[in-house]
Amino acid sequence: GYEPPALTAVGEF
Amino acid sequence: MSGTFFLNPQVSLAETDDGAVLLHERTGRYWQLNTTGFSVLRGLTNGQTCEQAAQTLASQCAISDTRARSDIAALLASLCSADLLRECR
Repeated sequence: GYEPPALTAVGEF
Repeated sequence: MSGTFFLNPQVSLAETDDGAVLLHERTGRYWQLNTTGFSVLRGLTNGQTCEQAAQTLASQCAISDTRARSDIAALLASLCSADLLRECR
């Protein structure tokens, strides 16, 4: 199945 | 964006089971890239142009060239906006 490329912000430290 | 790209030297990348995690050491922000995104990023940082990466994605995932170009353009915009990826000049 095709999953579009995705960038997700997780957080910062 | 017709050139090639390189990973910002201030970014650490760790491959995970479902893609990769990128840590921007200057801003302290970290990001999750899914499997498809990591595959595209790997191609781009190995010297593929945006167009070549789109052709690879279209071939691998059996999607249209138009869809592949659109998805990669969106990913590139996100990566460059976050200063994770830079275009070679």
